[in-house]
Amino acid sequence: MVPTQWYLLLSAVLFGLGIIGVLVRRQAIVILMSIELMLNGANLLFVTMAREIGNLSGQVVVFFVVAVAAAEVAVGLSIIVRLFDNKGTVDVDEINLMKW
Amino acid sequence: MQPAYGVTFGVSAAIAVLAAIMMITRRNAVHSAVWLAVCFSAIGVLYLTLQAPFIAVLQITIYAGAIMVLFLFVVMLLNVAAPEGRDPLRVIAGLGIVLGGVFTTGLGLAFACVTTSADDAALARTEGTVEEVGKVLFADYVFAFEFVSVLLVAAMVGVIVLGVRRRERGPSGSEGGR
Amino acid sequence: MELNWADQLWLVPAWPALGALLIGVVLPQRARSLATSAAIAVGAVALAFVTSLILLAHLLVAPEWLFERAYTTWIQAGDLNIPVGLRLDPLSATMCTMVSGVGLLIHIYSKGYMAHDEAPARFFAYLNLFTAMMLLLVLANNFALMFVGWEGVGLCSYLLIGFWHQKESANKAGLKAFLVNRIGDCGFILGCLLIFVVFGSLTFSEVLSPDAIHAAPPAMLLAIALLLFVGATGKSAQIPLYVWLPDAMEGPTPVSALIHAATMVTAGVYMVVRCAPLYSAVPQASAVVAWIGVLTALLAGLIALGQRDIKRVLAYSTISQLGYMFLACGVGAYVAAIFHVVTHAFFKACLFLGAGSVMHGTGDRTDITQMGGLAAHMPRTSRTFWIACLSIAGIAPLAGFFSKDEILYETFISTLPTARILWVLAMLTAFLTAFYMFRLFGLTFHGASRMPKREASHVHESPPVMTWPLIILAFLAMVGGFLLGWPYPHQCHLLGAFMADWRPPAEHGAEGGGASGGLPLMVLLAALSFAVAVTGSGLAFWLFSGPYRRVQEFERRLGTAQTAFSRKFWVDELYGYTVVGPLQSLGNWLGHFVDVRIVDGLVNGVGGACQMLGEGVRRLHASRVRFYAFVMLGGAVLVVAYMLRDLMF
Repeated sequence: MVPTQWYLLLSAVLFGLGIIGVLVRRQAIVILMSIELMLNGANLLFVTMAREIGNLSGQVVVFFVVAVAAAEVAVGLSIIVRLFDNKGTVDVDEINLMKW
Repeated sequence: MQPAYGVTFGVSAAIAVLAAIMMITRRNAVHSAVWLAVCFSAIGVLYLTLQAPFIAVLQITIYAGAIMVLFLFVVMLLNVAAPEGRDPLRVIAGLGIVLGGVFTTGLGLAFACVTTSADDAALARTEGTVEEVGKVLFADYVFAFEFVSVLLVAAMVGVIVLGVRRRERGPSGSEGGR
Repeated sequence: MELNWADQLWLVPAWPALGALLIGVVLPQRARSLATSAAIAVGAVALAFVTSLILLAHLLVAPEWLFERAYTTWIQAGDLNIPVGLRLDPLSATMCTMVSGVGLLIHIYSKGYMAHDEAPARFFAYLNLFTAMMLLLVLANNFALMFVGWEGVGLCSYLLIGFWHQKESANKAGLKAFLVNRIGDCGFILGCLLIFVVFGSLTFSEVLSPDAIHAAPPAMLLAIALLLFVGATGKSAQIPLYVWLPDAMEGPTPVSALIHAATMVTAGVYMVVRCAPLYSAVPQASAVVAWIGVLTALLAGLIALGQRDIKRVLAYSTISQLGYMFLACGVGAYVAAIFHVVTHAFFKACLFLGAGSVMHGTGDRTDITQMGGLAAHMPRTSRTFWIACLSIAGIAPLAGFFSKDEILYETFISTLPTARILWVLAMLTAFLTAFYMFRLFGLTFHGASRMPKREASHVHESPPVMTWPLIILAFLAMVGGFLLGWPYPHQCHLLGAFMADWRPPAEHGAEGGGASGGLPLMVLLAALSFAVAVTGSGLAFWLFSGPYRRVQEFERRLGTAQTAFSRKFWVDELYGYTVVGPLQSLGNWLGHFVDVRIVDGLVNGVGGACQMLGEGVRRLHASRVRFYAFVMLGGAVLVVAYMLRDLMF
C-alpha cells in the first residue's frame, strides 16, 4: 500500500500548481481552469483522509464539492462570456473599472 | 498485489503533475483545457487506488466529462486569442510563483508530519462503493443533498439569465458597450 | 442714633464704587455729559471723605484706636481663611482721609480740566473706580483683600494712562506700567504665599502680632520682607521697577496728580509701614529698603535735572520723594514716612495740578524750555506753584520742611551701620530737590518768554474750578506741617501721638530728649537742611529765571552729565536691551517658528499623515485581479505559517 503521506504531498503539489496558475495566467478561462485544479487537489486530500480515518464522510464531501464545482464553472463561464461581449477580450488585466 | 498500487500511484501521480504543469504553461487555451482533462483523468485513477470507486467515476463523468467539455465549448465559442506582449504584471507573477512554492512547501512539510497508521489491511477494508457512500449520504447528509439540488437549480437559472445575448452584439465586441 | 461705627466702614470704599457703577454702567448714553458724570463722581468722593472724617472722629474717642470688622468670608479652603474685612486704625485712618480728601480736590479740578474732552463719563467712572480700589487697599484687614485693591489700582492706572487710547504712546505707556507692576506683583504674591506658609493666615492682626513674628524663623521673615518689598518697588516706583512712572505722564494731568503722586504710588509705602513689625524684626531687610530708597531718590533727582517736560520733572520728583519715604521706613521711622506721604500728597498734587493749569493755559505745551514769564499771565497758578515748590524743597516753616527734616534726623541717629552715609546721600538729594524744583519754577514762570509772540498773548489763567483746588492744596502744603508735625520734636507731634504704635523703637517711652542726640542735635540738623534747601533753591532760581543764555551756558558746562541726566542714564534702553528685547525675540521665535512650524506642523502633519496613509491604502484597490489573488495568497501563507508555528520552531 502506498503510504498516505505521498497522496497528501501530491494533493499539496496540485494545489500549489493551481495557485501558480491563477497568478501567472492572463486569460480568465485558464484562471478558472486553475481554480478547478485547486479544487481537485483538495478533493484528493479529502478522499485520502477518508480512507485513512475510515470515515466515508470525506467522500461525501467530495461529492458535494464536485456538484458545487460544476455549478460554479457553469456560472463562471457565463460571466466570462458576458465579459467578452463587453470588452472583446478575456484578459483579466483589462477588467479595471474600479481603478481609482 | 502491493507493487501494483505503487506503480499505479507513481504513474498516475506523474501524469497528473505533468499535465497540470503543461496546463498552466500553454499559451493556447484549447491546449490548456485538454491538458486539464488529462490531469483529471489521472486523478480519477488515483481515486480508484484509494478504494473510492464511486468518486472515481464521478470524477471522470462530471469533471473530465462535463466540466472540461463546457470549458472547451466556451473557448471555441469565444475564439480566444493568445495574449500578446510581455506580461505587465510579471513582477506579481514572478512573486506569485515564489510565494506559491513557499506555500506548497509549507503545506507539504505539514502533511509529511501527519502520523498515519501503517495498517494496510484496515485501510484496504474501506469500501467506497455506491452503496456505502449512499448510506452515509442519505443518512447523515440528506439535508445537504437536497440543498445541493436547489443550488443546482439556482445555477441553472443564473446561467440562463446571464446567457441571454442580444442578436446585435456579436462575438467581435470591438466597441464593447453595454 | 446708636450706630456701631465699625460696621459702617464699608461705606467708605462703597461710595466711589457706586459712583463708578452709576457713571460707567447705569447712565444711558444721552445722559453721559460732563456735568452729570462730574457731579456723580465728585459727590461720591465727597461722601467718602465725609464718612471717613466721621469715622476718624469716632475712632479718636473710642477706647481703643481700632475698628475692625469682617463682613463675610471670601475664601475658605482647608487651613486658608480669607475674610472680607476692613480695619480702621491710626494708619489706615490717616491714609483713608488723605486719599479721599486729596481725591475730592482732584475730582473737582478734573471737571475743569476735562471740559473739552469727548469722553468725560468714562474718565470719571475710572477715576471713581480708582478711588474705591485705593480705599479698599488701605482699609483691608488682610493681605489678600489688600492685594485686590492693589491690583485694582494697577488696573485703573492702566486704564487711565491709556485714556486717550487713540495715541499710540499712551497705549504703550499704559501697557508698560501694567507689565512692570506685574513683575512687582509677582514678588508680592510670593511674599503672601510665604506668609501663609509661615503664619497660617493672611490677616494683619494674626500675622503682624509680636508673638507671631517672634515665633517665625528669621530666614523666612527676611524672605517675606524682601519679596513684599519687590512688590513695593513696582507699585511705588523704586529701583529697579520705576521706569513706568515717567511714561505714565501720557495720561491726563489729574490722573498724574491723583494716581502717580498722591495715592497709588504711596501704596507701597503704606504696605511697608503696615508690615512695620515684620521689617523691624529683620534688620537686613530694613537696610535694603533704606538703601534702595536713598539711591532711588538720588538717581531720580539727577535725572530730573535734565528733563524738559514739565510733567516728567514732576514724575521724577515723585520717584525721588518716594525714595525718601522708603528711606524713612528703612531706618524705622514709620511715622515720618507716613508724615511725608501726607505732606507729599499736598504739595505734589498741587504741583501736578499746577502743571495741568499751565498746560491748559498755554494750549497744551509741556516743554519748559519753550515757556517762560508765565507768572504775569497766570498769577494764581504761579503763586500756588511757588508755595508748593518751597514746600517740597524743604524750606521752613512749610510742611515739606517738617516731614523731610524728620526723615533726615531719624536717618542720622538710626542704628543702621551705614546710617551716616545714608544721611549724606539724603542731604545731597535734598539739595538736588531744591535745585531742580526751582529750575522748573524759574524756567516756566519767570524769565523772558520763549514762546512765539502770537501764542504768548493767548496765555490765560485757568477757571476757578481749577484754581480753587490749587489754592486749597497750597494752603495745606503751607500749614500741614504745623497741623501734623508740631510741636517739634517729633516724639510728641500730633501724628506721632496718633500713630504711637509706629514710632521709631529708639524713642518708645522716651519723651522730650530721646535716646540719642537730643534737642541740640535736632536743631543743628534742621538748620543744616534748611541752609541746604535755601542754597539750592536760591541758586537755581537765579540761574534759571535769568537770561536764557545763562541756562544754556550752565547746560554746556555740565556737558556729558547733562546728557546722562536728560537721557535718564539710559536705563530704559538698558532694560530694553537686556530684558524686553530677549523676551520679544523669544515671543517672535515662539510665534513664528514654534507655533507656525512645529505646532501647526504637527497638526497639519497629522492630517498629512492621514492623507498619505489614505493614498497608500488606496493603491491596494488597483483593480487588478491578479494582485488581489496575490495578496490573498500572501494572507493564506501567513495563516498557514501561524498554524504551523509549532512545526517551524
